[in-house]
Amino acid sequence: MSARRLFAILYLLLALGFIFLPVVMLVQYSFQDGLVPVPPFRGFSLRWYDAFLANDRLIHAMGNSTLVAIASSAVATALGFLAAYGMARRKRRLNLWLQLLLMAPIAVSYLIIAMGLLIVFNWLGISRSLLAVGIGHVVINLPLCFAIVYSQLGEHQANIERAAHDLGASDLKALLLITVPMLWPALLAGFLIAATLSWDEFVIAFLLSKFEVTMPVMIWSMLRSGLNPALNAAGTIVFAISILFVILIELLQARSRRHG
Amino acid sequence: MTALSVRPLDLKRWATWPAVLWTGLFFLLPLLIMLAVSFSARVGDRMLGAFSLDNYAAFFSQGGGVYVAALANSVEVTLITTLVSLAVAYPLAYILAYGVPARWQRLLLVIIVLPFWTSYVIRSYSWLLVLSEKGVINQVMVALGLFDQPIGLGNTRGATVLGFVHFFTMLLTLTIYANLVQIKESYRKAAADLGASPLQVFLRITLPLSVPGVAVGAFLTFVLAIGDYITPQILGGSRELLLPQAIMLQISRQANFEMASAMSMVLMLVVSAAFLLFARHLRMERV
Amino acid sequence: MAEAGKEPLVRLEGLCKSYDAQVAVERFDLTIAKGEFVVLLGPSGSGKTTVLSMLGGFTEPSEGRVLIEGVDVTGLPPAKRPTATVFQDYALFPHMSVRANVGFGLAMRKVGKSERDARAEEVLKLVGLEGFGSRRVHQLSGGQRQRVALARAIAVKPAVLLLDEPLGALDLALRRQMQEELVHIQKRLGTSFVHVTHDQEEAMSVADTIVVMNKGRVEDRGAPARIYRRPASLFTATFMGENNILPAKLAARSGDELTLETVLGRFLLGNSKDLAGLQAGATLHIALRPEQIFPAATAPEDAVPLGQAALAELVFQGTHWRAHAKAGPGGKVPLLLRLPPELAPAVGQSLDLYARPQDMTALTH
Repeated sequence: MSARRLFAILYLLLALGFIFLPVVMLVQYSFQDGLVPVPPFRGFSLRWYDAFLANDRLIHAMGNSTLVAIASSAVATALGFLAAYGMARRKRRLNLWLQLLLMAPIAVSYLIIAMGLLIVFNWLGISRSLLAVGIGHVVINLPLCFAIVYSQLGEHQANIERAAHDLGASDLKALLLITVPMLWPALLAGFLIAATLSWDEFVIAFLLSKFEVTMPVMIWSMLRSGLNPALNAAGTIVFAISILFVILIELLQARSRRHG
Repeated sequence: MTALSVRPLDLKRWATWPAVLWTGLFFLLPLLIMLAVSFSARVGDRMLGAFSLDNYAAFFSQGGGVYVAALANSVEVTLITTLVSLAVAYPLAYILAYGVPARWQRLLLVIIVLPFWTSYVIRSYSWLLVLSEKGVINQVMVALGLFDQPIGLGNTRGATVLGFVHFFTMLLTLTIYANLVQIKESYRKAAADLGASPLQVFLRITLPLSVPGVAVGAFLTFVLAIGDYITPQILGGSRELLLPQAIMLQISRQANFEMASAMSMVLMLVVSAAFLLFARHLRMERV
Repeated sequence: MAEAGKEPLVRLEGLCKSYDAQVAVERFDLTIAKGEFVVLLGPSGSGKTTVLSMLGGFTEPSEGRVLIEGVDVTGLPPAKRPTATVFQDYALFPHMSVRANVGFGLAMRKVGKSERDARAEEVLKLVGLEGFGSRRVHQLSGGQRQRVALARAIAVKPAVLLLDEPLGALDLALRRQMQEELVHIQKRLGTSFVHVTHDQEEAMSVADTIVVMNKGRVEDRGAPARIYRRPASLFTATFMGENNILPAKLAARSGDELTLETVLGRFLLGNSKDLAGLQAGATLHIALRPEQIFPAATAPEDAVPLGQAALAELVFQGTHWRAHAKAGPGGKVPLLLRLPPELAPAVGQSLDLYARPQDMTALTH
């Protein structure tokens, strides 16, 4: 084996080791029997998983996170799709500016977005709540959903829609029966990415929620009062669910590739 | 008289507006209000009471320049993070694009992204554990004889950089890899055919053509890192304050929205400056 | 072709290439003289690109050697061989100007900037792009990019220039023009060219020698005129332009003269010295070009009758009528004809057809 190849393999392994280090620690200590989630490792136990599942507030927060994620991602996907569709199908000079506006939230820190919303909601009399969090999450996910769908709306799709119109379909019918089904991979991708980002988002959720909180905020407040091994269990479970998700997505993509 | 026919809904016309309205109302408007608030002072209980430059003045002068220091720290930490992440990510992306057989590349990419599906907050705390006196790093260092005794590595600027680098290495690897695999193989073959050594092929062809990927990744790194609250708060602790932490303090402790708005505007100014710097390199001529 | 006793410029000996169980190239031998324009012609999968790739050093042969200027270069990478390649997609470096592209090979040879630029100007002039030095690649049309790719390869003064289907992306008119220019440039430079294409018209336009390949094997090699008139195999006969193929049986032989029995009659072919060893009764094929089948009005003196044929389909092609005819007893033999435009043929018309035995080629495979 040449020196170059050896170096490449070594570098790859080191890099992977670095990337996986905190996760390995996390999973390892979720199974340990000791009270303190630091080394040395003391025996195998599932007690922290029990503790996690028994922690009603934590489970409830998880439910909140899921609710906010699904709702805000659905809205973001729908709005993003409509915006991409409107822009791709109707050329206006304004389009460039509108695109800039729609993509702008990417460049702004979540902290600033959250603060802005806090001020405005105060003013408008909207109280801090999961709804407020959801609105904020739509703001940050809309650019992504828009971009993903927009990149898929090429001339090819336009021709298919024209064919549908030629055969008598109205705009709405063509949209629902032709465009949406054609674009469903992009829509699904946007939805899943938005849901993932929303689920794990902390700053906006922290500033805009009050009594009902999402999981990251719950974890944060638990950690303020000291390291809690049950959180290792929580983290590992979340991680495991994510892996399942990733496998699911990969299988879906492999299927769609096979069926052309 | 003929009956008026109802025109079918012209979707294309108004489809864009809901999203634009949402962004306008919940993003642009708050920013504009914040801009106004940053230039105002309270009168009694009312925000936007009077025009005032006090907030900006306080930013530069108050607390012995503590806010300016926070800004400087943020810029420094972000620049260090960007450079270190680049140094780690580029070789990784290169090995992935050219050293790994094609059918394993996607799998490896998925594997690299996988750890970042854990909760950001929990992941940062895991780093704290790794860096603590009883953590893995100390254990290894003591065993190797490099440390006399365990050193607490958490709550330092180095810890913050480490936490950032961990995430942004992944991001940069993705953007650089995406760029590298797009470079036509025939370019490198042609260069080799004309007499270039492997090193020359890299320096003259591959590297220049990978600049857009590097630029996009570095820009995203800069923007996301400088505005991040979680990593510096958890890993950096209170020894050194970065700008997002200072802003958060103004909101949660002082409820001084005026000050917080002013500081946010400063942050956005820095980000805009970064964008102007990077914008040149982000376009790639289509051949 | 190489003169006797003198070492040819390029010698490919026994080149083979297989990928796992798949054989891409089977025993390829070729010598190329200095100044020769060789074309490797064949359909996709014929192995022609693989041979070029082995010549250039991009593919390692499974067996065999490559010798250039007497030196065994088989193990050498492309950078170290005296070859330069014009790639199918041109592979012009998008981030460099035209001048920098053309001068790249010279920069790798550590030639100074002023000399590089001077040489680049010289070569750009040769390919008809004088003054294009400061343009960027994305500003060029397809034809212009093709010339820059050529210029870049010429600039390093290679012993052999390799071209991988260089004209494939151009439209017909441009392709014809470039074919002519390629020949001009090649003659002016005196460099040996090896050109890969699937277009037999192109091959005939530019080549001194054509090597016809199919499924990894060499079907025929020689000058364009010879290959066209006397193809050595069935594949070559039908690949190089349209041809009529008639099944035949060897009725008798006397020395080099063969008497062949076909459905359209008996013909005495006197030019088949390659077919020694064939016994009477052996089955073969006769190849006869459409333009060498004549109606009574234009048949030459030494033509023999082929019988009557009914015209089934007619397509006007400008210089001739392309006709499908049914000949032989019961009209069971399909023939492709090229009839002179003045004839004004009609579908259903019956014609007496003639051909000369010396225009017929006997083929065993």
